[in-house]
Amino acid sequence: MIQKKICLLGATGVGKTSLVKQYVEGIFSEKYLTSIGVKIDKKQVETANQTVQLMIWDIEGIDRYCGFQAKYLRGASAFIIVTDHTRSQSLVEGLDILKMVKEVADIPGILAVNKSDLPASWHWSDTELEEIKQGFSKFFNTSAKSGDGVEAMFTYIANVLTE
Amino acid sequence: MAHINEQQSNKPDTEQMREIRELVLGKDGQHVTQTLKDNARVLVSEVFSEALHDRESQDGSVNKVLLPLVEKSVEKSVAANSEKFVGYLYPLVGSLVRKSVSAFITELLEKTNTLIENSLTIKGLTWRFKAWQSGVTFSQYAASHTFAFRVEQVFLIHRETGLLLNSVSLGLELEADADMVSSMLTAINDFVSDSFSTNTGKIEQNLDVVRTEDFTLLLKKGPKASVVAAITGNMPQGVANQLQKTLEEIHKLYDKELDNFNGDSIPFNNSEQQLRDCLMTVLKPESSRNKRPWMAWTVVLLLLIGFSFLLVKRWQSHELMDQVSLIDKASGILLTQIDTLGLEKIQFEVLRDPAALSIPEWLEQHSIDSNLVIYKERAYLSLDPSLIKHKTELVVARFPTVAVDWVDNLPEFSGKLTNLNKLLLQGELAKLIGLNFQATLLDGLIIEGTENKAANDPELIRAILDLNIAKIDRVSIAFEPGQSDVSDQALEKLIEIKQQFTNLIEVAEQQELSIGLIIMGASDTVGTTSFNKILSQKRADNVKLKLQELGIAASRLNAIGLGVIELKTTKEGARKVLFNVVYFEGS
Repeated sequence: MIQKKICLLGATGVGKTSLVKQYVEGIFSEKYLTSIGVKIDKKQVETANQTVQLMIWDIEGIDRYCGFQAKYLRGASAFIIVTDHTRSQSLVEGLDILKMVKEVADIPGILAVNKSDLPASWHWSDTELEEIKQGFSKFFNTSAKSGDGVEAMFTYIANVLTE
Repeated sequence: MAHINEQQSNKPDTEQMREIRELVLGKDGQHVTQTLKDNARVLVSEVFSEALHDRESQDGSVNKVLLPLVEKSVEKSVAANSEKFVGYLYPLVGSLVRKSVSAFITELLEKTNTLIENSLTIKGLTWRFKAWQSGVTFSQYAASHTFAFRVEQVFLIHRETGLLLNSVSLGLELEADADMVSSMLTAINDFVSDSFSTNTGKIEQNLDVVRTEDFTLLLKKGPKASVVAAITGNMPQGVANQLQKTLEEIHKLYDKELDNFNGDSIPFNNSEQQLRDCLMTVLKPESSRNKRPWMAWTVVLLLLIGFSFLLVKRWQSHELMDQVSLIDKASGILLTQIDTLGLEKIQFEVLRDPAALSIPEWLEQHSIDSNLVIYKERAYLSLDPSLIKHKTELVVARFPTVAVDWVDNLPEFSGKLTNLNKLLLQGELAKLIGLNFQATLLDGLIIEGTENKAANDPELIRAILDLNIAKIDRVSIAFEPGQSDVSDQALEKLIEIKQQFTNLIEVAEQQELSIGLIIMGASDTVGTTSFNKILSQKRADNVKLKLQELGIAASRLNAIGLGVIELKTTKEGARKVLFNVVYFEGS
């Protein structure tokens, strides 16, 4: 069985933790997030050829005032930047994070636009969004509440990493 | 030189090249191969183990090649030197068997001891309570207190990704989710190294030891992988050294695999052996001092004592049985059955002639404690010569003027006697079964007083008859309340009566008298009149039946039930059968 480390990044409050909560087998309490800034969960995904075990590093919300722990990205095979389409700011911060990640690692990045169960209320035009998506390998609309898009996203990652 | 050049220029280029090659490298690269050959040993030995490992992990072919070779050579060696191998193996097998047996016994003792110690001692109960209090299982708690330290689990973690490459554990319940733990440990290490970096910032800070009250995590970092050990108890330096050694070994053996790691941990499966070396265990010195399983030994000792006590008792009871069995040799006593009863007692059954030594007397003579024996005796008539002698002597003793001598078991009587006494003696002796008494035996006696031959004097005979009748009339047979069965003691009396009555018949017939025996049954006042009537009749009938069985003709017997004997004095004594001999003139 192949194991892969992937990182979950994004501004505070975009719902990173909720996004994986129902999806994974967790043993650690969420208090680790606030104490050391990371919480780790695992999930086995069946691809066409094999089983992949994703070790999902849920990294504490990052904003412009505090840098992020570049070390947590070490050895990761992919990363997901989570944004919230009810808050424009979350995408701005997401792009900042993307820039920071690209400086230290050359790995595929996935954009997850979360809270798709709520109506979009950010002020980005479609062309702007299309442009932003170009910086990522893939884009997913997700909902932590309904679970929409979550499994598809992780399965996609598992497939890409084992190709 | 020019000449040579001329010659060479004539040859084609390829030919020249070949020659140069031959000059430098020797014919067919001889120089190179020779150098290689000369140093082959050094060169190969340098990379031999690593090369074997690499090839084995590449396609597993080393194993495939070596296995049949090794098998074949072992087979050959065994076939050729089977005698030698037997010699090698013989002491091994012996000591192996001994070892495994002693290991089994030791383990059994240890287990028993632990079980007793853990379940019965105060320490065990305290541990149980404390384990319950702190929410761990008893075995875990006991382990933490029994071992000075113990490496419970070892992880091999890829340095870069924090992914688990392999893990081994002692198989205890506390085996954690190794994948998650290794990732989390990497995260924590990253966190620490970032949060507490030194001013210079050049040297990366690494976690070395994480310690809790009874748990220690020991981390050894290498450039490409880390080894982490989870240890209970007080960890000595030795574990750290072993971890370091293992880590270096793994780096050496798996260098390439670590570099090319892509998330697939299969190439590291073989590292289990190296990791197992780190699973070290040391018992607490206190418990090793305590290692003598004295509790179990006590139990074993108690069992042994109990067992030997039983053995001794059993031996004693058999000794006693042998002693008691000698009773069979006593005159007039026949042992019919003997057995042990419980731990120390003996029970036996005998047939005893009433004239023989009584059982309690015999036991006393042989110094046997009568409390240790239980016996049942039934009466019988013994024809044992010594007993007949004894009986005869008892009879003769009643006539002080008569003496008896024995010649070949036949009595010879001598002395003086009146006619009457001679008749009486004759009557008594005739009653002795087994003596084969004949009147001629008394011929040696001198009759004193009257010249009359007693045998011819009818009055005298009538007097003797009356005397003997009175003897029978005096006999009574007692019964238990409400019972009509004839007891063994009663049977003895009935045998006596039968004898006497048979003698009477003889004498009566001589005198032309008709003789009969009236058997009268009686009962006490307890119960209804009708019941008592039936009971008394039944008693009389039973006695009559016994006498018939003993040989008296039914025509001479008459059983009557008297019912209750209405006398104030008779209460206990009324449960009886009485006898009355009657005779009439003319038979």
